[in-house]
Amino acid sequence: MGKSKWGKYLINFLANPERFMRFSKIAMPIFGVLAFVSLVIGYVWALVYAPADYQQMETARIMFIHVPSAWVATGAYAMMAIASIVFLVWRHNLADSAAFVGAKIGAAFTALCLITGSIWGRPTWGTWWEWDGRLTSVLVLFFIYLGYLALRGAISDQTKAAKAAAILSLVGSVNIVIIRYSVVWWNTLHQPAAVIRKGGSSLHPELLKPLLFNGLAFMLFFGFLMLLNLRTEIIKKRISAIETRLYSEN
Amino acid sequence: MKPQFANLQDFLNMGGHSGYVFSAFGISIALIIGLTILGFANAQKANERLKSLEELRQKGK
Repeated sequence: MGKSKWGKYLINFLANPERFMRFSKIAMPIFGVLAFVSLVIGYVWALVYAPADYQQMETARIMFIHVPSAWVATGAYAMMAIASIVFLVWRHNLADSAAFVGAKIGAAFTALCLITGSIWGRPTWGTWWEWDGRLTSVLVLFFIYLGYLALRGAISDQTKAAKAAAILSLVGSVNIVIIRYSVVWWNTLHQPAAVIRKGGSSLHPELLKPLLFNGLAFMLFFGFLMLLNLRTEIIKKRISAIETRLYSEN
Repeated sequence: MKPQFANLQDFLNMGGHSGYVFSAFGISIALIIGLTILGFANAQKANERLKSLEELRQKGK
């Protein structure tokens, strides 16, 4: 079976809520344990064992949570946009639920990215906030997440709400490109890309290793939260279906 | 790998930037714990509601 066939097979396999519930019942605790163990190791590594930066000294340790939270914030949006396409094209309801759950988690991690960035910025740049290209585009991402969630809450017809929100998420995905290239287009305050860039990372391996490890820990935690909350969404849909049936019978 | 601090006092001092470093890490830990508790609480609430509705449906049959 080719790679694309495997991908299609996996999507079709998990698109069935019953199968997803069986799969996630096993996968969720595995993700949970792996996430919490790696978070504990990652935090101790970042706070105690990683060397201080030669310029920013100990404040550079904030990077070990700020950068992974930014990866999850943008990664969650990319996942949400893909899930929205799957929902709009193939009408998989589970994909719509995944986009909805991803938006809630993504908004939380975007807030974390903004807060930790602001705390890091004060001793490094001498300011809590600046209307710099990167900072502003991440703030816009936070508002897009909030707009997506507000739109879903404002439309009572669930099918219409899901369609409108999916279109909004696709339109908003242009902001992910803006975030990525903001440090190139507007070279103002935020430093340029240091990890994913042409010619390899500019970070010292002693700083890069704990950063990548914390990135992995945050991704595992994101996966765990996705499975946990997606299971709840499926149960809520079952509740809604039973309630509708009960009310129509009475 | 060696610890970067000679003693606990040095660690807590964080080169004079402890307020910034520990508040950033503290907020992230609070978010991680908060999202986990909220996720499990919502799951439990939904499971209990589903169970009571299924019991109600069984009684109605």
